[in-house]
Parts: sequence; C-alpha cells; structure tokens
Amino acid sequence: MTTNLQLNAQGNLKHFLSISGLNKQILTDILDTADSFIEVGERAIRNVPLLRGKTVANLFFEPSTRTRSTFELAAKRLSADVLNLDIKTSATSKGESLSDMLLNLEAMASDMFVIRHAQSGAQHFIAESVTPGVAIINAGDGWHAHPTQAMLDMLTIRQKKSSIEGLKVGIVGDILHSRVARSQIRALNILGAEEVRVIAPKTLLPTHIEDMGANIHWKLSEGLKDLDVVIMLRLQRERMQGALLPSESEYFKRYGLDNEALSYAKPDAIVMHPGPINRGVEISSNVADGNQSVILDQVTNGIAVRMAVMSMAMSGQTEEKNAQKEGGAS
Amino acid sequence: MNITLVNGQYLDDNNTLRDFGKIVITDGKITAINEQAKESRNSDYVIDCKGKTVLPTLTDLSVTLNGTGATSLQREQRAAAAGGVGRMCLQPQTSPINDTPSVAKLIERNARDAQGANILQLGAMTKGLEGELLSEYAEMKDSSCIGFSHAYSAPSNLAITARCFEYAHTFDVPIFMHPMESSLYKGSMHNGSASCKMGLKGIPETAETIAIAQLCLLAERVGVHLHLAQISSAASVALIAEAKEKGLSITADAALPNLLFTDEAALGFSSIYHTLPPLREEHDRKAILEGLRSGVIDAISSGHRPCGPSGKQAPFAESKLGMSTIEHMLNYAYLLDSSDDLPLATFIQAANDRAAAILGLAPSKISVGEQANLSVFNPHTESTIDQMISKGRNSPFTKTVKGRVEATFIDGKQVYSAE
Repeated sequence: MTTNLQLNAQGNLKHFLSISGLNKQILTDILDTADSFIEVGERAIRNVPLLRGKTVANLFFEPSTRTRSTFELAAKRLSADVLNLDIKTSATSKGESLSDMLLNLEAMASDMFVIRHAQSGAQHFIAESVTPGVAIINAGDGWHAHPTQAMLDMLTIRQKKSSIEGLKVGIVGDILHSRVARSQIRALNILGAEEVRVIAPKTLLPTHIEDMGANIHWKLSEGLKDLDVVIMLRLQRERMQGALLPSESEYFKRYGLDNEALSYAKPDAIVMHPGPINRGVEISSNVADGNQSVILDQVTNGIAVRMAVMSMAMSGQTEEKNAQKEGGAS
Repeated sequence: MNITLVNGQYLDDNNTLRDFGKIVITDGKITAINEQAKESRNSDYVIDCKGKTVLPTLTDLSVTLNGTGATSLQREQRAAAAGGVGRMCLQPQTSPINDTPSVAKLIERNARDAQGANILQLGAMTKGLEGELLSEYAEMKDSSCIGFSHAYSAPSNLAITARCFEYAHTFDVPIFMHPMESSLYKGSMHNGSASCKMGLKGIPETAETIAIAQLCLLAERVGVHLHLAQISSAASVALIAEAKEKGLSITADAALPNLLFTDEAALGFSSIYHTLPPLREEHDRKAILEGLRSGVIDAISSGHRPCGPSGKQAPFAESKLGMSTIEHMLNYAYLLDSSDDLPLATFIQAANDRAAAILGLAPSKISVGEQANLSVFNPHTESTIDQMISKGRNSPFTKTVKGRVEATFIDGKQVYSAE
C-alpha cells in the first residue's frame, strides 16, 4: 500500500513519504541526483529551472527553522515559487482542522506540499486525500519517518566511505521517539549496510526494533566496537520528566560520545548528528568539532537531497499526468 | 397470520444445520417444522428459502452509539436486524451518559418503537463514567438496565472498582468491564512490530492482562458476576481459562474486529483499523478463536462503533475509534466459517446461546412452540456498502459484501426485509 502511494504507474517516485516501500534503485537514484545538485551549489549561479512555474507550499504543523529553511532554499534553487505556512493547530480538533486545511490549500493550486506533522502517518493521510497531481514530501511525521534526513545522511556516508555496502553503523540515543532513526535503519538496510545497531537504555528503545533490521546494544562500549559510522541522536530535555531517564549527567556518562567512547569504534569512523546538538548531553564538544565529525557536511548535503526528491517527485507527477492524458486520448 | 418459510436449511436448537421443507409461523410463533414441503394453504405470505439458511437471531454484548434520540437509535436498531441481531447491549457512553434512571428511561422510550433489534441497556458503573462515584444501580435496574459497564475506561482506582462490585452484587446485576490498566493503556494500536515501524505509541498486552488478574481477584473476593468485555490477547485467554478453572463467576467475550484482523492491517496507516481494544497479532487472533471453540471465551460481540464520514478522515491516532460491524454480523460469521477460522455453528452458539446466558436471558431457538426470532441469510448473493442502513460507513468492507440477510423476525414480528 505504501509502495503504491509513493510511486506512479511507471514505478517512479511521485510522493516522498517514507523510505519503507522504496527499493535500492530509487534510493540510489536520489543519491546520484543529489550529487549532481551539489555541483550546482558550488556554481556562481545556483539556480536550475526544474520547478519553474511550480508552487511549493511548506506546511509545518510542528515548529522547525532548520529543516524548513533547507526545504525553502532547495525549492528556490529549483526556481519554484515558495509559500511558507506555519500552522498552529488546536489540540482539541487537529484532525478536523487538517481536513479543512487541505480543502483550502487545494484551492490555492499548489503543486507540492512539504509537510511536517506531529502525528505519525499524517502525510500518508494527506497523500490519500489530496487532488491527484500534487506531490507530498514528508519533512517529518511523529515518530514514524523523516526520509529526507535519512537520505542526506546516506549521501554523507557515501561521500566519506564511497559506499554504504558492508559498513557497520550504530545509532545512539533516543531511538523510541526518533523518526530519524527509523528512516535511517530502513535506508541503511536497503542500501546494503552490513550491520545496523541501536545503542540506548531500554527506556529509549521501542520494543520490536530488531524486526526493522537493527541489533540492540545497551552498553555503549560494546555497541561502538568496530563501527564505521556513529550516528548520535539529540536527547530532548523532556525525557527526564516521563521517568525515561534520571538525569542528563548520568546519561552522558553512560551514553554520551566523548573521545574515550569514540576510541571503541574504528579509527577512521565518522561521527554524525542530525542536529541541533546538545553539547555535553549526548556528545562532547571535542568530538562534535573534531576531525571525525561530519556534522556540517550533513547540513550542506541537506539542500542537495531535498532538491533531488522534490524534482524527482514533481517529474513523477508530470509523468503520471501525461500517461493519463495519453490513456484518455486513445 | 400465517407466514411460511419453504425449502431451506435451518440451525436447530442443537446448533446443527438441517434441511427443512416448511417452517410455519403462526401469529408470531413457530407452529410447525416439516422436512417435506406440503402445500402452503392458508399461508398469508411465503418466503422461498432455497439455497438460504435460517438462523436464530443473535444477542450482541457491545454497541457504542453516541446519540440517544429516536432517529439515531432506531437507525442502528434496524441496521442490527439487517445483520441478524435480535438484541443488542448499548454501552453507557452515550450523549448524555446513561448514568441515571431518567436517561435509561429516555433511551427505553426512544428505542421502543423501532423496527429492529431490541436495545438492552448497560448503565454507567460510575457517574458520568468519571470513575469516582457510584451510579444508582438499583433504580437503574428498575429502569431496564440489565448490567453495568465502564465502557472503554476504568474507575479511578481499585478501591472504587471494589465498591462497584460489592454494590452490583447486592442488587444481583453483572458488571461489564473491558480490562484496562489505565497507566499502561496508552497508545493508538497494539505495541508490536507494526507500531514500532509506524512510529505509533503501542498499547502493550500487559495493559489488559494485569487488569484481568486484578479484576478476577477482586471478583473472587466479592462474588459478583464479572464479564470481561472484548478481550484482545492470547495471554488474556489463558488467564481467563485459569480463573474459570478455579470456579470464578466470570464470563468473557471478544469483539469481531479482533477475530478478523491483526495489527498488520494498520500498516499503511489505514484509520479503519484504529480500534479499541487494539488489533493484536496473529497468535492472539488464533488464541481467541480457539478460546471461542473451547468455550473459555463465551461470546462474540460486534463491538459496533459507527462514526460519520469525517470520523476516520484524520491521521491514524487522531481518527475516531472503531468499526461499523453490526449490520454484517452474519456475513462475518460466514467469512470466518469459509476461512476455517470458526465453524458457523460455533459462531452462532457464542453470539446467541452463550451471549444470552451471560445476561441471564433465554437464547433464540428455532423450534416448535418458540416465538420467531430468526433471520434468513442468503450466502449466494451480495450487498453493497452503499446500501448500509447504519450511519457508520466505517466498515472494513469497501464496496461489496458477500451474502445478505433477507428477512429478520424479532419477537414474532418481521422487522426487516431486504429490498
């Protein structure tokens, strides 16, 4: 079902909702396309006309500055008109207001919605409800998926390690509440990583995470052993309230990445973080700023990956429209 | 008035399918069942049952309706009759909540003239279902409440639950509870592989099993008849088997969705599968079916929870709970039979004989001398979702449904006839 929703009849991307349901070829296409846009970013004139005349609406039902700005920049570099909407939903009737909002937005004749929403699956619901021809890009839904973040991470790993195949990758931190981790685990498995590990105390691990293709480690030193890539996740302060963790200091001592902990990984291991980082909570400053850190490369790659999925989804929609026209004519 | 059903199959009072030539209903009573069809002289009306099955009407232990007005109640009563249901228990989670004799009387009055299933009322165990204060069980029993329920929530603490049990025992009324330990019962689906993949908070089975253990111990001490409503997990079936072996006065049912689907149905975020109790795993579904076969689980309820078209138009966790199921009870019974999940006779036994016994009522029987409480089901035709009577189109069927109830008699009167 997910597969059909994201792909057009020709098997090409028309929405980008989750990594799940996409095959290795499509993920590789996204990375290759993003690579070509990295060159664009290095040119004096950085715009390409792929989305000229198209309107991209950024609908952020959850506050975001960084992700939204990179989507905005990516759309502008593709020459699209960009509409930014920060939507505060009332806690009581979110569902209703979402349905109503969709009706309004369809009336604005947007070609693409980039959506972040606190509810897992909200973008699936929207993709099923919107007028055909409008592409939906998931900029994060609940704990479910953040597929553009996962793809920019894959691009960064591929740049540094030349290939994802055969790599051992560990994700450390709050896996339970992390849409980033879920999308990363999917992408790493599809792209042929040798092993994906999740490293966290049991309170921050969802049950059955092993079913997604991840090995569980409770101890950081064991989990980091022989890793090629270490991905740190941001720890939200509110986790102390729900009795998930006792204190930041205990967490940093057991699960924080400092130079000593990093020494368990391979000497050439890279360190990643989706940001924004909490120095001294999940990662020490000298690791975050150290020569194994690729955190700033991730940010740069974010624009290229978002340009890639936006242009691919738009062309998938156009392809579907043309195929339907031809079908209608015959 | 003579009505004659001719040339079909019927389920006799031993739950065995038999051929019949003629079933004669005279002034609402079954007066003759013959193997050979003779001429139907003096018949005012003949129903041809060739290829069809005549089944006793069912007693449904759980229907959740919001409206208490005559129009909305009677619409669902008619939908129930179209599903072969003769009586249905209405959960107290109505608007207003059924926690006083006056609300019970209002519902009774508004439901009285329906061309459809009879409503049996479950009063609210606590005032406003807020979990704190006792409702007037004795007065409400006099105003036609057949039992007391906490719908889909639990009293605030076990001390209050114990008082409810004691008070209910005093007035000899059963307590219906969906077992839930509130502190663990948080999430929008079963906690398992699917919820992990979908990034949704999951309700662990321990949220149900821990409550079953506690409630059984309390019920044992008090002696009340405790009915565990809509259990959903294999571990729950095992706990109930254990309690029954000890001789406790407990009964249990499972809702249709948990017999039919698992949490995997929700992958892809289809909000129709957002139910309470949540759909669990295949081994849970199998254990519930086995429990129904062995009798550990007494009854099947529809868990009918109709909602308007906008109810499911929302992201999964924000969509309205439940499925609209009552109108297709017999269709589901045939579906489970043909998939070798549950024999038709067991389904009917659970949803008729054993469900009625929980309420202390006589089951529907197709035998001479009984009032006509039966429906005629044609498995060889189909109906469409567009034809549904229920306001709730939140059915897991999307376009057509195999089989169709063609006529239903309740208390001797034909209340439903398919157009």
